Amino acid sequence: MSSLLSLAVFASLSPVAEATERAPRAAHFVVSSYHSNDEAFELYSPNDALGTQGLRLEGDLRGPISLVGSYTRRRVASEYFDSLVDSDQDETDREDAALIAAFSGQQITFGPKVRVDATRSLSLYAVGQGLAFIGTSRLDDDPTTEDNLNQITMRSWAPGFVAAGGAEFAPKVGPVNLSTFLELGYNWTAQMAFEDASVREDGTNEPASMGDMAFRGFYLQWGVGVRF
Amino acid sequence: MRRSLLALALLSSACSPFAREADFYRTGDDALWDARVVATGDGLYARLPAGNRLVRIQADGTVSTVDLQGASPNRLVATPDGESLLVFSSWMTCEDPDAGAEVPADCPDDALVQHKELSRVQGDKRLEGFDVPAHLNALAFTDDGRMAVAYLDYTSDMEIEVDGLIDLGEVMFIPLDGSGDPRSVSVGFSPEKVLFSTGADGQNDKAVIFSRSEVLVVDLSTLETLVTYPLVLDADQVVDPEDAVLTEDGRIALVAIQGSSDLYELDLERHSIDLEELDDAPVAMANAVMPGIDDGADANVTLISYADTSRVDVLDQDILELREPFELEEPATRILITPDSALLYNDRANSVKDVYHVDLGTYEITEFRVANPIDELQLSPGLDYAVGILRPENDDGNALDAYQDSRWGLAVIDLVDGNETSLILEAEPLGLALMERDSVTYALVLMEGIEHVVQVNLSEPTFFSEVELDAPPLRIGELESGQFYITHDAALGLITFLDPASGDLTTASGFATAGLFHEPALLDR
Repeated sequence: MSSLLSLAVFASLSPVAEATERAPRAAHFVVSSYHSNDEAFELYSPNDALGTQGLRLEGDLRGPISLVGSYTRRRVASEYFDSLVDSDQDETDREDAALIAAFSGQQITFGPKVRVDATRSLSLYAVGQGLAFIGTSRLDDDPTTEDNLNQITMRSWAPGFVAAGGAEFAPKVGPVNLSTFLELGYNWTAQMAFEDASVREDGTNEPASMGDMAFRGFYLQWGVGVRF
Repeated sequence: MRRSLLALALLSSACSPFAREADFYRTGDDALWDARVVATGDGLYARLPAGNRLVRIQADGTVSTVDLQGASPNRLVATPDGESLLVFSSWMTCEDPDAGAEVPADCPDDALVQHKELSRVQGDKRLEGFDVPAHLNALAFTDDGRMAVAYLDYTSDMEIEVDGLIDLGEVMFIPLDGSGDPRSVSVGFSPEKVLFSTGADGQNDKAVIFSRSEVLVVDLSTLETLVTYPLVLDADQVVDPEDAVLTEDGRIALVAIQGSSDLYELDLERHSIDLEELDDAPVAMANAVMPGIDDGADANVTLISYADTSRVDVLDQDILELREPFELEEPATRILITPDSALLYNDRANSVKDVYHVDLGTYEITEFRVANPIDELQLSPGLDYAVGILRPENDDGNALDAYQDSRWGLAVIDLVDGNETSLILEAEPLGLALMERDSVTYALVLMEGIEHVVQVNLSEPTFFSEVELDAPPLRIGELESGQFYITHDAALGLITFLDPASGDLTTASGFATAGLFHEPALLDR
């Protein structure tokens, strides 16, 4: 909602466009939301989406078709303040967290965008992008001690895609124009498999599986930048 | 400008990725691991409740998961021979094939069924599973470990699952050597204790099961009930056993009843009952040998102690008559036995601080007075020392007395030289273990919130050393190999192994991540 409001404010403040040619390239600072309905993500965040920030670049290919690529990332972390260990001892109040569970997600997207110019400043478009989702899990049960035994890092990645439709407002005032866009759609990734090398799976020398995580669901991206 | 950018880049790379602020502050639903680990000859086994997994941890730090075929481990028990682990496990199925459910949430409530079994595990493998009724949660074992008896160990706050109907008096005999199928026997109500008598061939031949108001004897070869001993004549009366022992020859079962001064003597061969009228209700019994007491001949006896009577009675197992008792100054509620002596102490009354070392061959009694009430007492491996945990009591006497009274302590009793030292501990003790290294006996003491083990040389208890640990400890235990293990309050899993011979420490860590993303699933076994 705030994104739509920003778009309207930006539109009202923009000078009347004079240029007739649409600038072929664009660079935007973007914020995105990748939904996950996976219970595994609850370890890191009580929310069911990962909000990310990054950069998106675009260049016209031919006619109404352009190519779009973006890089976004975000880290979310939860601190747990109960012991998380079953024992005969009574739970005591803690000053420091018993566990920090942090997840860093990096998203690289690339794909075509097809637009329809609604007015000289406003275009509607559809975009389909391939997605590489890189996840890093960091777990630490002694956050006050640097380099303690239980600082566990696991990495994984999964391919996926983003399919979205959106609107871009870019009043043409000269060779460099301000631009903003909002797009909504669906994100899907395959399962990211996380493994812990410190534990062996029974009967093998393979690392034990911590489990899988996927990001699937509602996708949103808002950007502000320049078209040139 | 360039230097500033370089400094910024270096600073950001130097910051630990683990040291950043969190976005959310939360509490967890399930524990990541259970520090009440179980030791067998194959290592330690730990449950991972959040990950629904079982892991095996070896003293060299190697950790592996155990394949339970998808079942969740709920409770672990080691067999007496230390060769196997028995795991009470469970899994869910959906009995509605039309539901097409893959997870419990997709299955209609009335079609969701929980199954339980007792699995036998060696190494990383489940060898076999026994179909054990869901409410049976405790195990007793024959001496040779061939047979396990599952029974209900009821505590007041536990939930009992009823699937159709259950028999609260049911016990199940489980042949662990594969010699037959498990079989249930109904043994009255609330069976509380199972003992095993030994036949002429040295093998356990009968199970003696103590339940409310009756005692049953079951033949282990046929699993038939041989005899039932009623403990009351009037069916309206209800009595519960307090303690029970079998005589050394396995011929007589001695049963003490809660709040009763009657000692039941059940003859397991003649199937008869005799009553020994005592002066008070017994609270503890222990078998012992009085060396050379009868003109140079040993006598097998049972020592009987009381909560309110300052005496320990001696029941001769051959003639079932009381011999001369041990007269004490204060009552003793606990009995520790050595080959030629007994250690008597009281862990119930705060006012009683005496420890008695009695020579079973000469009736000589050595009295030790410790500073605070005794919570726990252990004998050293060589039986030269007794070490006790002392609990705080109300302030008493002058300021220094009050200081000691209000704190946890450690009592070191030299049974050879006959002296006692009461020490004050920094915090509440979590565990005590005794070990010998190079002919020196040490006590290892874990304390709450203290990240080191206190190692006390029992020959010079005032002098102690500290062994640094990586995290606050929770429990200490011993492996079959003689090594000690210490579990820690570390969410991702941390166990320290201590080699008593060398004093070397090794650790196993980070094992609680296995299956951490686990989602409940339905199994189709």
